[in-house]
Amino acid sequence: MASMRRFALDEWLCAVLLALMTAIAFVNVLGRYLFGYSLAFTEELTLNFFVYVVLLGAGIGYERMVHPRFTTLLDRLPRRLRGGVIVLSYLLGAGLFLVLVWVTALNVYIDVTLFHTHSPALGLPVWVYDAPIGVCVLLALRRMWRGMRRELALLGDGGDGRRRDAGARP
Amino acid sequence: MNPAVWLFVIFAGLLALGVPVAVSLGVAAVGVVWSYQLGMDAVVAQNFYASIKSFPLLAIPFFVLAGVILKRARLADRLVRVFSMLVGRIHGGLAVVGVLTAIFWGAISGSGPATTAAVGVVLIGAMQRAGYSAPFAAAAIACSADLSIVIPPSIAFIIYGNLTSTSVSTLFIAGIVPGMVMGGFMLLAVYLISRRRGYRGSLVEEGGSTSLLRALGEASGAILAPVIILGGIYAGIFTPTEAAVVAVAYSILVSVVFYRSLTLEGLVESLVEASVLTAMIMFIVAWAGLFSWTGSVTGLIDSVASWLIGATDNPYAMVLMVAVLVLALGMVMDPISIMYLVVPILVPVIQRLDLQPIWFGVTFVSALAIGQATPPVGVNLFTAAGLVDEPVDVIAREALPLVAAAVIGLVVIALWPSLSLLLTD
Repeated sequence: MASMRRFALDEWLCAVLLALMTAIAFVNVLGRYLFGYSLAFTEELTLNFFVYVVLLGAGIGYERMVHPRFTTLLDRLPRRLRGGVIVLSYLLGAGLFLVLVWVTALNVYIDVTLFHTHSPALGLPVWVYDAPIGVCVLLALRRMWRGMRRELALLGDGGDGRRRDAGARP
Repeated sequence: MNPAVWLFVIFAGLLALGVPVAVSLGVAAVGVVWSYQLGMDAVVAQNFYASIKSFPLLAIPFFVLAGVILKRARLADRLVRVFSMLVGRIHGGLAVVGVLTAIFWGAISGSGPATTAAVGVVLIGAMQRAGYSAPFAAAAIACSADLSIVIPPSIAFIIYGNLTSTSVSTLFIAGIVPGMVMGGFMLLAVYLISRRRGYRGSLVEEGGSTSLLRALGEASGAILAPVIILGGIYAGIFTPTEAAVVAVAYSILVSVVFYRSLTLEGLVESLVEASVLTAMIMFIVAWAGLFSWTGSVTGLIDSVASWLIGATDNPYAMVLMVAVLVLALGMVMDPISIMYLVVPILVPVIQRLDLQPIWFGVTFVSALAIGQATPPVGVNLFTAAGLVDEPVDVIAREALPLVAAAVIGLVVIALWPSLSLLLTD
């Protein structure tokens, strides 16, 4: 299975998490209709996995340049200015990720020192669900870095530098 | 300056600079929450996560995954063969086949770009070989893929239902007839253009079967998919999220047992692709959620809503006005961001004017759908342009008459609420 090695860590995480989400949801559907019960506590797991998939996938999406954006004006800027705007755009994106980690960490800190909340269904301390967010953001930032370098390289390769692949790619 | 104005100015400025829509929404909202001390730690984290952690929205990754797996099973090829045997020989046959396949794929996928990719990969090359211009071929697929979010399943209806507390199942069922109406206008436009340009009818190069019955048999995996997805919802058996999970199970079953097209590697690749497409949607949803929260706290939403309510009390005038606004926004934004920007404003308007919510929702989403193929930001156009390696504006020019046809369809849907209510009780 040499071909399986081409998937990177964050891709594996996405695949496994989404597969688990699907499997849990499917078992619940079967359970509800065939046996008349549902495992309500699984919703907590599924929804937290969903958050991780979104953060990781958004990162990969940066490198694959799938995030919708309006480039008509950007394309008309002089090349050097365009490079600056692209860097600014990535810095803002990275800044949002960092703000997210910061406010999450703040909430975790308040919680472990003050409230000691446990998750409603599985009774886990809430930081268990929040901690992986840091890892997801770290992996996403790595993808953003590569996405930015790729986009800047496209600018400098002498072509018209116009991006045609801004939409979702097949 | 008023925080509401700041919110809007920062967002519009960043958007104009080419910052991704999700990031523009997020930075504007976080910036305003920060500088007006609306409670960074509580508000930002709460809103971001709460927007994602919604059980109804789980239908999105599942529908996306089912679509990705069925695309890999080359089901679009098989549908193309069936339609091409039926109508391939008329004028503009392949273009008509393309529109029909894209409409049908809309009943499998709930996203415009996903349909553009699935159908475009199969048909655009074949259309070029049959003498169609590449931009026209790409435009025809991109525009008919608009209907993917009107014909159920539809990511737009899932989010709209969630935002307005309207039943997603009812919206799904309601979208069927209006989707067909818009599709009809699109077919007519494609046919007339092909006729004038002398695009002859032809069949897709034969590789497979020649009898219609066998082609139908080979495509049955695709033809059954909407029956299972929509049948379950229509019969009231499944919620949309459950139907989406069942669709994934069905797609894996069909790919493994029936078409033997899914390897383990292919499955992992599908999961990654679905994750990225879902993340692209949900990244916007999450930041847009914070943006609309900030918009309502700062009074932006109230003031625009009361202005709208004051403008007219005729329901048809209101719906057409909203449609024009959505079409205009559709030129510079993607459907999901528009939804988060506009729907919170519309909720009080719908209540105040006592508008029929299903009809209003279907008309609203139909207008959003058209925006996927209008320049400069048309998510379907981007995807189609990537497939043929032509600049977006060249394809956009070819898309104009088809967009016009869709707008006629939109007006029909807006003026005849019975079309949206035909299949719902």
